[in-house]
Amino acid sequence: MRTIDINPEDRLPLTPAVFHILLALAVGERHGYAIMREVAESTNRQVKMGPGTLYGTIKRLLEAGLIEESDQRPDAKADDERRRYYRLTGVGQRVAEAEAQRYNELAKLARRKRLLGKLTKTAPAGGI
Amino acid sequence: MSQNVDGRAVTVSVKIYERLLATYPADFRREYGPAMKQLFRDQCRDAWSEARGWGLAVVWLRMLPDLAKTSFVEHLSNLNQRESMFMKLLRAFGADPRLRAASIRVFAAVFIGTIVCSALVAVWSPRIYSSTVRIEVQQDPSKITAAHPKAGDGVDRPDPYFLTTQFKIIESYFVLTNVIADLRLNEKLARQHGLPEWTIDETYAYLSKVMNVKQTRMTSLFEVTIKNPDPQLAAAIANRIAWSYRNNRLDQWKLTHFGGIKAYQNNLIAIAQELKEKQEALDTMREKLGVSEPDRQDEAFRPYYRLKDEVENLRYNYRQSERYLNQEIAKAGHPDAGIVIVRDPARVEPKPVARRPWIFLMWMLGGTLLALVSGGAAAWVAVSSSRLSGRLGAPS
Repeated sequence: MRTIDINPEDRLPLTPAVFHILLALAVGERHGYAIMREVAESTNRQVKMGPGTLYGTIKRLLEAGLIEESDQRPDAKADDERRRYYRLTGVGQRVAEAEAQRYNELAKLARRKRLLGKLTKTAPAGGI
Repeated sequence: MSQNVDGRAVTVSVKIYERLLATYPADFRREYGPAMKQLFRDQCRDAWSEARGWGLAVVWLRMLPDLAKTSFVEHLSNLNQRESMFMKLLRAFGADPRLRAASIRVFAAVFIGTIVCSALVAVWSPRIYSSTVRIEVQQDPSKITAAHPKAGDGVDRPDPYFLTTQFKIIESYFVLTNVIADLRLNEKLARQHGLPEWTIDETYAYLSKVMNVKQTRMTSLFEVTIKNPDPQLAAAIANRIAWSYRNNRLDQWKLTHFGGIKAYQNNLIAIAQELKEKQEALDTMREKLGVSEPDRQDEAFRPYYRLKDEVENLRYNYRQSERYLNQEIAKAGHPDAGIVIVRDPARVEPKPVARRPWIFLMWMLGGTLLALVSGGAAAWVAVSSSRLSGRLGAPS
């Protein structure tokens, strides 16, 4: 695996698919289908990735060292052995945080421009 | 969810998807194919349990564009990442003299083989003879056709598409099938190809290919050229086409021309009848007046002179029309009526058609390309084999 010693911000901005996958893995390791469902649920089914998009992105994230494959399984008995689990690497975590921060700055800017004034009352932080 | 509760549709869907995974690059498929299949199966099962067939259909409708797009992206990414085969070949050529020698041998063998084949084809292929007949085609200059009761408006005006139309008539099925029947070309041409007989349609198709009709610029001359291994047959076919076309055009022309003559004759009879009646009326009037030559200036004789002028005009018209009619009748009796003249009949050419040099150049070029491709393919096969790659240290 490649060693990543570059500044996480150099990798920004991330594509929506990459950021959604990093967000899905932010809470713990997951297999492909779980990532797909997490992305769909967290975006109110607005973002639905196909198998090709998901694994193509996973391949690039693995190559970039932002995620890695995990040998540990939450429940080895109940789960299919063929499933492959993924988790964030340290670099992946920092890149995801940097991207989230970037979105946060954008959201602040939008508020200052009164583009998010009404939205923040009905959909508080985290709704972005 | 166990396998036995899956709908059959799920199983079939997964099998089809497994086949479709072949659209991805091999490396990607090996690494992620099983996981993608597993994911698709999970998707199908959930969709099936939620909405049965409709759910599955939605999964497919979402998956197919995704598959098309991502397989293209993966192939593109593969191309960017992988060392090109051309570079591998270059490295292999530099590293292994045996590979170099083998490729050059394949190249030389294919190149020489192609050139030898082309030489053999040139020597053994039949010699082709070409014969050309020249026909002069004129529009019908006669206005009498317009007198035909069925002639439409403008039949006596020049037709701007006349030569184009005649061009097509020369190549028409009607003209050529007459030639085929007259010369029994369905047997003769078939025998040249080692067959006992062709159908008329087969012969027509062949004849259309070996004939060439062109118009000499700024003239009314057509050249019909026929190519055939038999010089006598080539000339006979060309001449027969000219005569078949000529007869066809004359038949058509006579149909309208004689109809026009008949109508014109009827018209002339009517004029003669009118002339006779008016002449009698004039004679009667002269008798009543009791003078042989009345004074033209006298007001009392004005009706007489009016009638006399009409009779003179009618007589003049009658004579002119009669002369014109006689000319047209004489023309109709002429063998070609001046509308189709076979100016230069096709001769039996003693020498075959010279082969064009560009054909040999094409053979040379084709041979070189084929040899290059073969030599390159031989080297590619060698480099692609794992044994050679390992020995040369080429990257996987």
